[in-house]
Amino acid sequence: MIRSIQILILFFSFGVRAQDSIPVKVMYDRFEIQPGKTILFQDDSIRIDVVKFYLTNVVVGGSELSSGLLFDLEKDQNYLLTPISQIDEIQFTLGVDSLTNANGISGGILDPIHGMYWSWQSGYINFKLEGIHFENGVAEEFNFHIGGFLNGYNCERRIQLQGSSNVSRLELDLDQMLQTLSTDQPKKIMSPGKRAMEFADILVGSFFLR
Amino acid sequence: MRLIAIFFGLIFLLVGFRSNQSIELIFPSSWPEPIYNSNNYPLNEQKVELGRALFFDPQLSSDNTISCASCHSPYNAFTHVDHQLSHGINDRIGTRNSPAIFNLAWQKDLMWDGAIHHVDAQALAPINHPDEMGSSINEIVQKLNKDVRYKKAFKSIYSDDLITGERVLKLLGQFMISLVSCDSKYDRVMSGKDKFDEQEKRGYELFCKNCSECHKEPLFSDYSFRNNGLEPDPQLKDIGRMKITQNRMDSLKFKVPSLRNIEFTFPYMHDGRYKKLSEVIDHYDRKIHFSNTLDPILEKGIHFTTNEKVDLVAFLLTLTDKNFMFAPEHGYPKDFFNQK
Repeated sequence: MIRSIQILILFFSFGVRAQDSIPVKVMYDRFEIQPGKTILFQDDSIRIDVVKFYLTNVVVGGSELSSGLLFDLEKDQNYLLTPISQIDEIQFTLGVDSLTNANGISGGILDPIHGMYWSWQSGYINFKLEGIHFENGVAEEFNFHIGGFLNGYNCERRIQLQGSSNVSRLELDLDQMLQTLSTDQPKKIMSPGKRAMEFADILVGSFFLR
Repeated sequence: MRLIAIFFGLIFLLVGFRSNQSIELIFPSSWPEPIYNSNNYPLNEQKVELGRALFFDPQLSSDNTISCASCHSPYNAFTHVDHQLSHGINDRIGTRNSPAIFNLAWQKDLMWDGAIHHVDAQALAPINHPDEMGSSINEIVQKLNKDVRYKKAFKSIYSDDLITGERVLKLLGQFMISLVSCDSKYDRVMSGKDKFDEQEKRGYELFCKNCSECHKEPLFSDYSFRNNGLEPDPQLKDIGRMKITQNRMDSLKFKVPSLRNIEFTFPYMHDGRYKKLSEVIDHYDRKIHFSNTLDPILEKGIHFTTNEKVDLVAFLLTLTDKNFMFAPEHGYPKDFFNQK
């Protein structure tokens, strides 16, 4: 009996592929962002409440991962499960590809219960950034909901990153995105369009393997 | 004894297969093929039935008072008649007239402005709208997971009783796609089973000459987006299709509604401004509002004599499909809700 169990354990040990994980972190000014905590921003301050985004169709070491990630700043841990530990290159789609969008509603991390599907119009929200900008004693909310795949405004972005031999995590730097708060532009993007496309382009240059 | 057991076993199997079988949309052979891709998510009898229960369930609204059927009553070809604009929780009033729900399988874009591209995503709009159902799919899933009737029904369809947002929305989509209206007098005339009377015949000729380019047969819409010359409502400030495409050329354009069942789908237009068919015909006759995006077809209006208006209405009444509206399989699923 014991020998049978040992054989079974051995069998499953070989059957299951060892997995590593890549933590995903959100940074500003080289520090990791914590949800709901106020941080210095130029001469004032900001509070980041929501950062949520999809990483899908992830390819590591030439192999596509079986699952993507719905990053959520409020979760304790956000990581991608990979079959290898040494990562020198990663490719992923920031958001949900247009074919998946066109097929309607999906499940798992794409279930609309996660609050990443627009209701007033069709399509997944690829990226959410929400918080409050405190400027000269005035608090102003900012909401950036980036998505859309129709009418020439496809915000899906494919990102390819190279890393050194000692890569330990995937980082999203908010530095460039938050510069938007210093401009005269509205602090809200809530629908697909030109501004959402520009924001998506900024996102492409905001991911790093470190 | 053994024979009896085998007999009941066979009956059970037959009922089981019947209740869980795929179903096909039934429509006249002269109709175009549906746009809805049933290969991706084939219609299933049990799923349609459960979708119907969800459609009639007020638990889908935040205060459990408003169901999909509240604004989309089967007896009015799945729209409402009480209000110009949709009526939601706490007597709140929305911004658009609720569209009639039938023949969605032939429509590429749903809603007046085409905001929704897939039937499975359609229900999210009224569910989340604060002036309609004021809820969220997350809240609904939490409620339904505590409801033993749904747990039992989900278990019988899926391999588990887990109620997810994806499943709820797809079930609602199944029911809505199953709604096909194709049994009006017009349909019987076209299939040679009935005849128009003289007045209806004159009305049909008027329709073909003046209305059929937008309200194309046999669905009685080409489902395009057009500005039909309605003066914009200063309160609603509804720019229509432009909100979705952000293209100025789409300003004030709305989806051409089907004229099927028009006898029962009043009030008319995206803002429900007209209560009677005669008012609609008068609009095209002498109330066209000119703007940059007005459909060229309407630049000179569409003019009818008094007698012609009566004839046209007589024809439009032949588009009523009472077999569709009063079909038991489209009504309130009391068996589901009465179960203990």
